Amino acid sequence: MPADRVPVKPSGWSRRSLLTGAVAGAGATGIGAVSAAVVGGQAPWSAAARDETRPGQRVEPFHGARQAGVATLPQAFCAFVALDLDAAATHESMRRLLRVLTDDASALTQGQAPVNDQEPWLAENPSRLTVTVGFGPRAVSLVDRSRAPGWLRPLPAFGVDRLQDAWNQGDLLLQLCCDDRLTMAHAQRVLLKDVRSFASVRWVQDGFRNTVGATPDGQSMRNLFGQVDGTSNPYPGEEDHEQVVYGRDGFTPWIENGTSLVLRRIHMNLDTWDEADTPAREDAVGRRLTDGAPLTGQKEHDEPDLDAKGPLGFPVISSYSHVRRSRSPNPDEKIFRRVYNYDLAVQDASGRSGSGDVSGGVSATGLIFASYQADPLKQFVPIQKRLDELDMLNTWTVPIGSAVFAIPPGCESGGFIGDVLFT
Amino acid sequence: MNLDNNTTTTSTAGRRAGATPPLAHRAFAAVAALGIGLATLTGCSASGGGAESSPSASQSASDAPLTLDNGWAKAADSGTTAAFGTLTNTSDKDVTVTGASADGTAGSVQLHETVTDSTSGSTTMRQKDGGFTIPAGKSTALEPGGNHIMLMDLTCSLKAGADLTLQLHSDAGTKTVTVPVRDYSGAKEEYTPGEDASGSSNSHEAMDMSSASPEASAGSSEYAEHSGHEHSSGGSTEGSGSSHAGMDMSSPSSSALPECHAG
Repeated sequence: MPADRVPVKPSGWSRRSLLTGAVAGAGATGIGAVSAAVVGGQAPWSAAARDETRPGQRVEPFHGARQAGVATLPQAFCAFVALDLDAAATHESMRRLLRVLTDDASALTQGQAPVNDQEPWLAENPSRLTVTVGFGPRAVSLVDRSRAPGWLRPLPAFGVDRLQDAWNQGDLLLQLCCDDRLTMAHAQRVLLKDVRSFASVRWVQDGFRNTVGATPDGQSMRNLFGQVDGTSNPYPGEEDHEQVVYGRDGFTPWIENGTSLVLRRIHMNLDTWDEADTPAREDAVGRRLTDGAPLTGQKEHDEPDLDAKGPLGFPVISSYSHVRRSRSPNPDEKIFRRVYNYDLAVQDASGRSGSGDVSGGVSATGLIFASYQADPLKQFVPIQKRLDELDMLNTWTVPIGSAVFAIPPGCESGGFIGDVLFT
Repeated sequence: MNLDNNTTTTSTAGRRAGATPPLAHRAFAAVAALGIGLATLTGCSASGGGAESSPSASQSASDAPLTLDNGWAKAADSGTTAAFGTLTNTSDKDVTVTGASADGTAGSVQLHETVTDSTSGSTTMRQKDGGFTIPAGKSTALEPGGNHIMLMDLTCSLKAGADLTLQLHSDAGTKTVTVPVRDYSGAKEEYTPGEDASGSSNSHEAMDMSSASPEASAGSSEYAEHSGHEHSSGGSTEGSGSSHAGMDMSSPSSSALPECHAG
């Protein structure tokens, strides 16, 4: 394919993220070294300093007004972990839980082992690890019922949904994203050990994208349908990102610097997708498979021309296409998506999965559709309603899980995630 | 035997020291030691919200020239537990930590060491004769499998995410420190009063590291090879014993003791 298939994000999303990322601290350098009194700050001669460009040593900031993991350039891997709080959970136990999670997340994301980490060496390559905490209805209720946003409840039912309770909701969400799978597995284990006396794991959704360096910088991800995924997205740095994600001009965020996460697990039937040839696939979406360009354009980020007609007078971008149906004349109806693929191991996989099936065939594949917006009811739901009514992609996709979380603001050093709700 | 442990703890101290910057805000901030009676276990905040800033906010006139960095204590609903961290002597004279207390939290507190019996190979925790002497400007690591501060006869349930305030008594005065409480599956200690499993000359109460005494002898050789690693006896370690840090996922308030609080 021609070189111009590699679009550059208009926002420079990735570039900025990488350049501002600091380098992991001295966590990796102290082994067998000297006493606490001697090892003070970050030694300039440390291995970390020499390895500045090593992907494993890249870090994303933890502290700040907003939590990391939303505007962060998507890491290669992401685990969404929903927790069910114990029946005995209280306001005070929530405070203790959030303190512990914050302490360990703030250490792990900076490449440093928590005080009670029994495998501290696994924390030495943070690989841009981020940990993002989200509140389900019960968590907000326990922390501060008066602050519970009206939209923090299950989405309205959609006709295309075939939701499985095993993938629905949860009281608390931990979103771990990382460029290294081993580092992430360790971080997940550490945090779940922390959680154990407060909650149980409801579900874990493991997602992946291309690994670091596999694709040109700035290229949109492809999903397992082979489509360029997420072209139309208000990227950080772009004009509407702030409004879409954190509210402004008409959207009131549930709390300043807070946002929401709608997490939809969408099964993709690759077996029936296989039956569709390229023209049918491109017609269903309204974009070219080769580069994600709209059928009316030349490059991925060209604006689709919904009025363009073909030689026979039919719209070039068809009336049922995903591109047309997901666009709204209402500028408020925008979301910020940060999606991951999933591809589960299937035992005794064989045969083909039929139309509408969410199991069978040789793979269990889909998309973890993570959508961030100030107000799910005003932003996400109208889009999904339109897609529910008509979207040719529904032929091959089935939502099988749905959850909504309120993402609290970040915290400063010395605080903890959600602390502003405890005052 | 002690040399092995000391070697281990020294290297770990170095690693943990490297982890200091982001943790410093909630590591063992010093609190004025106004008197033994004031040592209490605090909840996350004495000031109602800024959980982690309160300990450092109350930092004041220092007495004993000691710091405890990256400190923490193991959560426990009752019985015994332990506290750890990197203990540093910031003065230019040797300091000996002779004891500790945690009034309002533990009936008694002792300084413990872990020793391996030269004949049986079994590892035992016992009170450290003469306390911990820290040379001028040096540090010593208190950690699971090594030296530690042992809390006995808990009078309240020490929950993960709370804070524990300890007073460290030394020949250079007393230092009050506050450490976060964390769940931890290791650092198992069975309190067996009047029994000195190590057979050493020391007559203090011994802490058998194994969670079940039959395993103590069966697994003794493993202990010898893995001193410093508390899970070396094999088999499942999670959830056994009475520790809160085990698999008790659903009943955080099931203990008979009230939750440790500072109000």
